[in-house]
Amino acid sequence: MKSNRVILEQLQSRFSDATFTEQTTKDEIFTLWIPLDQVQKILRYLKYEIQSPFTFLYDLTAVDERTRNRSTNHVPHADFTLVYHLFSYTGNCFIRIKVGLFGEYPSAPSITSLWANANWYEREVFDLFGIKFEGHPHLARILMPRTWEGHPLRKEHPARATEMGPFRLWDEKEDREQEALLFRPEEWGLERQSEDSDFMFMNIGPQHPGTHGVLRIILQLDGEDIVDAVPEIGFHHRGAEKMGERQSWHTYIPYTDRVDYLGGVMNNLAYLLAVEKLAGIEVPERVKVIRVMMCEFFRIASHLVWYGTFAQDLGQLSPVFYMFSDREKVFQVVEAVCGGRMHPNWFRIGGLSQDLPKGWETLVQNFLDYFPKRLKEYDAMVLKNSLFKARTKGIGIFTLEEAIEWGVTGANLRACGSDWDFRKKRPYSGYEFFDFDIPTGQNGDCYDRALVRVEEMRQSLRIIEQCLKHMPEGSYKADHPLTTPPLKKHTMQDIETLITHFLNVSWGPVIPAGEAMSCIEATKGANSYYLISDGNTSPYRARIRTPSFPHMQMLPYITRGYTVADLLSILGAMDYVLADIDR
Amino acid sequence: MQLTNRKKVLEQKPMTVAEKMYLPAIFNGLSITMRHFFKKKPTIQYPEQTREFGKEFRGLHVLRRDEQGRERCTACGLCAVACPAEAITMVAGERKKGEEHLYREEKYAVSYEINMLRCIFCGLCEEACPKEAVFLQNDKTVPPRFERDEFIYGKDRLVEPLNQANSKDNIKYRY
Repeated sequence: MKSNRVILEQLQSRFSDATFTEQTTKDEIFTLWIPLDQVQKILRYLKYEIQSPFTFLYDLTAVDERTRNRSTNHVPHADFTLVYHLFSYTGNCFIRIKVGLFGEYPSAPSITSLWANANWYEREVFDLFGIKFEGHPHLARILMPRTWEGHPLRKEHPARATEMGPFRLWDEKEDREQEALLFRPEEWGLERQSEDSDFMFMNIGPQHPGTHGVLRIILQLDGEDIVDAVPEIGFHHRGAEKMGERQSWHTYIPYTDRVDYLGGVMNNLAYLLAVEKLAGIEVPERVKVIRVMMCEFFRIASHLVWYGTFAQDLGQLSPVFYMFSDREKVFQVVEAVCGGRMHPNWFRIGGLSQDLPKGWETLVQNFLDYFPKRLKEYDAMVLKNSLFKARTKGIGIFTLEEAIEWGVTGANLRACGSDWDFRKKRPYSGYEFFDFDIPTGQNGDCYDRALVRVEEMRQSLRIIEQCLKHMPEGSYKADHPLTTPPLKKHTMQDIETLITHFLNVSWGPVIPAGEAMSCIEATKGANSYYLISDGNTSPYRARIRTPSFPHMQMLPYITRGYTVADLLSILGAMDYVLADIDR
Repeated sequence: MQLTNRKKVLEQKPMTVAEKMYLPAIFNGLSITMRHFFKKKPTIQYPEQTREFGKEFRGLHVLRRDEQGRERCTACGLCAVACPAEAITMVAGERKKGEEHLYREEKYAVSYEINMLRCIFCGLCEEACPKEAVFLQNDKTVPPRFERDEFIYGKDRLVEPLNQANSKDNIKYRY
């Protein structure tokens, strides 16, 4: 592409002594290998100086390359690769920067001075790969327990508990674990006292209704005021990325359901878009529209949970019950279509698991007739309630620049005034054919975030209505050899087709070597699956970029100076799911 | 179709004096809640009552018989390898003379176990089965029990009872 050439030329003229190696990928994101010693300089240039600068550090991760089958894909040799995904809002394009690292436990320069949100990403890479970052302010484990031995995403680390031998807790180990649990404020970067006051430390969570999951927030308090807040995450870590390397391409789909468990099929979509890019599958129009419809149903379901629990956090007890029973109406549709509720596991590589059931139109129409009235009542009950307003207006403000610096996406970004919605700006799965508005806020406070999400539900209804009216005819599976599983009527004919069926559901498809990243506007923000295939029956690396992770990282920054009661408004308005943060 | 592609700015207005009194907001909220007292209850008295499941609902598994009451399963093991949670185990055996009325194929499952504590009810086994033998029923769920062993369902609890064979109403053919 032309713009890629321009970027490369600019880089080469600026850094004449560095060598840039271009790599072609399936998703057509411009991918460049850069030398290790110039990482900071080049990234700084990309962030500040280049035309249409890449201001947004979208994702930072690593790949253990040591056991990769190289015969199928030409990539420069390295033991580990650091992968930086940058995004430019002005140029509307991604760039993927790769840095090769050598040795058992290599180290790389930290970029925390460049991007505020690099901090947690680098800690995550250190935790899961053992790669050290020089100049990082607090390089400690983040997802795994502090007493964990080994780095799970390294290829030599066992993928399942049965490979590790039976668990034993002998006395010394118990003492060590207990010792690690002791709270020492210094380890968390917290002072015990200032010049004029002794601070109080308070844990919110891991078991607290206001944290919406197993999240611990250590508060450093001066009276009622928050001096600092340190979120401790990882309680919900289930190793979704590691499991991706073990499951086949096909049997990983149910696992994606559980990443953002309020988003249901939306996770399937993010994963499958990446797989389909790798496989080169173009799905039929009908599949696209059905996928969009179900995704929007899940957006409404997720926003309803957020809406109810947010109101509950602020002291309104009734809305959460009404909203959960309305969510049940969404799940009636979802159950009738998918057969599951929160974990529908319904999309497949190259299509859907089955066609829409008979009578789906009535179900969807009933919901469309029913729901707007309810939204109106909720407006009267929650949004127009002056107590609610008093607790959310002017609380937890961040500006658009801060939002981009910290990697905020989704409704939280739009509440700051940006109209960035990946459904509109980088359409996927046929969103370009739908007519809907992008709600934005102006102040970037908790109340605006609420306004934006409520309006998003209305827009979702519009999209669903269009799906209902313009549902195309056609097959629910793509006619492609890698579609898994293929239409059953094509499989049970003779021994030849039966063998194909056996291979397809046992090994799953063999996805051609390459790498691809999807990017969708999920319920909480930008969700991505960055998949690397080395031509095998399972991904070589499955990286999940979730929106809640950077949102939670921003928490200390936006809560300082507020009171504990405000913290709950901020947490409620942020709309995160712990499974989405910890994966 | 003309696309709007609009940006819709949502404005928040400053709070009025009336709003800052707060008391009306409390009564307003209470009145909405009280109106709900007289509406239809969304709750049901579980377990005496149970809600209706959708037609496609994925519930408890069943191993089906064919039209003549023979077991369809041929113990090929596809469901076991397709299972993402590795919940299914089976032992295959060869059909002997005189057992033709019991098993449809020459090979059959001597034992077939599903660990319902592992199962995630994703339906991939049903999709994989080449013999249309294993199905997830839309009207039954796994009942709660006290012991872990009781969740390992063997053939005694999975195979369709003979008198119910061919009752197609709770089984759906989907693929």
